[in-house]
Amino acid sequence: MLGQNHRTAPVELREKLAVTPEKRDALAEMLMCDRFITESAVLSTCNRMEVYAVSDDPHRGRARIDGMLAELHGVSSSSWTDTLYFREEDDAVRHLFRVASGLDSMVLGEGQILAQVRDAHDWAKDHALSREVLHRAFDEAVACGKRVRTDTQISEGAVSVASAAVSLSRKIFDDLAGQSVLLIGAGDTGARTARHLQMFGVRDLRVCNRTRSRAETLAHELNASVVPWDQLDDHLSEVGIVVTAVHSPEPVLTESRVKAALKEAGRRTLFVIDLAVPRNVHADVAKIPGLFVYDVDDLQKLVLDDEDSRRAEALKAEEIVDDQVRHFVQWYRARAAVPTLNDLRMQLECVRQAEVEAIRNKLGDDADLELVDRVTRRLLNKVLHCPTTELKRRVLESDPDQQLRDFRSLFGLEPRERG
Amino acid sequence: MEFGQLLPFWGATALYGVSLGFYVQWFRAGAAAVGRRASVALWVAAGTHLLGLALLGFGRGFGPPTGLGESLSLVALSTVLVYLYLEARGNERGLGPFALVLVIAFMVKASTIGPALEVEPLLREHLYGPHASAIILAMSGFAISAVLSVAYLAQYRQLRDKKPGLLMRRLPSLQGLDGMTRRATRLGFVFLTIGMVLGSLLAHRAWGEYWSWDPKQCITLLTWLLYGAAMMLRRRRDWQGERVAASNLVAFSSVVVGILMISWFFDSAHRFGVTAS
Repeated sequence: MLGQNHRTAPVELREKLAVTPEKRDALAEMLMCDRFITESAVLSTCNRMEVYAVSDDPHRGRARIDGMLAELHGVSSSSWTDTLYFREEDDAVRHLFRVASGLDSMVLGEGQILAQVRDAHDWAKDHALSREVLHRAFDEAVACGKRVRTDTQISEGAVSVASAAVSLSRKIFDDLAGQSVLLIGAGDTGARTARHLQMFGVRDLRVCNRTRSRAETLAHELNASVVPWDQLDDHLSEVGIVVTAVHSPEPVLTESRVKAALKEAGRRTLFVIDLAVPRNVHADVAKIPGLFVYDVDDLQKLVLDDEDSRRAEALKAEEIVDDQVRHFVQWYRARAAVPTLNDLRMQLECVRQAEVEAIRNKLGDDADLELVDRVTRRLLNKVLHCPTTELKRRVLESDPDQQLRDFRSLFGLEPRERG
Repeated sequence: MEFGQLLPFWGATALYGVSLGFYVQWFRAGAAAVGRRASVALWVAAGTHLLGLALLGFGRGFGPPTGLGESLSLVALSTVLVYLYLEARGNERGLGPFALVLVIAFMVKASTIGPALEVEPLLREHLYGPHASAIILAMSGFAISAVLSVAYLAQYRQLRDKKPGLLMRRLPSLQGLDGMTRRATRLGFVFLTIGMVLGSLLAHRAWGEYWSWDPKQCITLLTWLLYGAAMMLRRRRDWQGERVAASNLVAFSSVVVGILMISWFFDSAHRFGVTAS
């Protein structure tokens, strides 16, 4: 596995190495034709670009992929080599499983990556790049990712001020689609939170700003309506959520102002998100019953708390990954014994057939021949049973290559390259 | 208490206790598998409870409820069923622990009273069945509304104090809780009204009077008035959220007082069957 992610490479470089659909097809072509690479898959998202490959000679395979990427992007490989990471064997499997579980993501436990891993697998399958080993590896990676998300709470909780604001809104209101949002201020912070609220269903967004033109620009961008600064109070009573982000030394919303606005409309529940420093909402506003007032510090604290609990959950997730990796590696190692066992069976089969042939003339009729054939075949199976299970067990222990070599020399088999 | 009578009382109480254990475990850990186990445990408990009550009725030739113990046991069962309906519909498992605490409280009270030994002639009247059913449905409506109100107030406090904890992750939104409370209260009120009308017809037939200022009647009237007032108040636009929840709980306290009263004053004319205690 050779790759690059948000931790090892800045976004400028990731952009350069990103594998666009056309480039991906070209890469598929190259991977397909390479004789050192038996299986491969490409995982490319905005935060990572990773090539997974099965090769008999991992280091030569690595060099080949390195070269392919250089050719693909038309840059010399030396310019990014130190941002690439390379994992072999168990570590490569573990990496894939951790990626699928969201443990390697910028936002711990995020869910998108699982679908991206699945897509990468489908793509590799469609292009006939992946076979037995990668099929199984990706299937188990997806299963591992699912297990992590159902068995731990790693994907619970807010990851940013904006998402904390959304999750609080959803704890107050049942359906955000039915809520109106008043955004006071046309700056970036407010816009980000407003956009997040829209993503979770808010349809009616109103923007209010002292300078009307800026409100209009933002409203156009967010597909919102504009509220004149002097009509703020009227709208205050109509909405369920207020987001304030105005640079102002004095509070914009005072207790008496909010109280008066609410009294007018007879409303009681209002969620006020104050993103400005100094605060736009006077501290006394929070005393009005039925109001929920959160400032930046409150939201930030929620994010930090959730981050802590995510990290605690990540420890549990790592255990699940360990477990799943062990399971896969067992299957993979046991698989290494198969060619050797086939060789042994073939060799003994040759001996058996030669012996049967040798006594053929001494036998009476076809029935005798068939009997001898059957008996020797059964004998062969019985003799092979014990070494087969024993070898499969031994390759799971230390140094499978040595075990296979010993086994081969014990039975007088020709030495053979693994794979 | 005989073994056959154990099932709808202490037996079911124990099963609800086990379910509560699972629900609390799920509430803390949030793992889906634990949640499913909790639901299954509760379905099994409710099924067993129902079976127990049915067996009790068949064994005696007269179905529950005859007596406060059986009535409470039935209220508990129908509260569980209403809760399971809510859970199945909206996957609102977070309410489970709250509902089960109240259900277990009902069951403990029911179990200490136990089943009735004989059936009063009054209970053989045709109107008695509908009257009792309506009152039991009303009580479970109020019980669910109380559970929802407690959940509402707890979550409201956490949100106001800016200390969102587990409650916030597991419970539905305030607005959702409010809507469900509204429906549960309305259900309770409608059935209480029906139950009271049927009850007074029954009283007329039995004692010749529609209303006799019996303590049980008085406390029921008080409950009716309190819930009526709570429902009137919530029509006012400034009477929302935590005030509605609080007034629901005040009204529910009269239900609790009523239950305690009947179990203390056996001399009330409106007593149920003779109890085993």
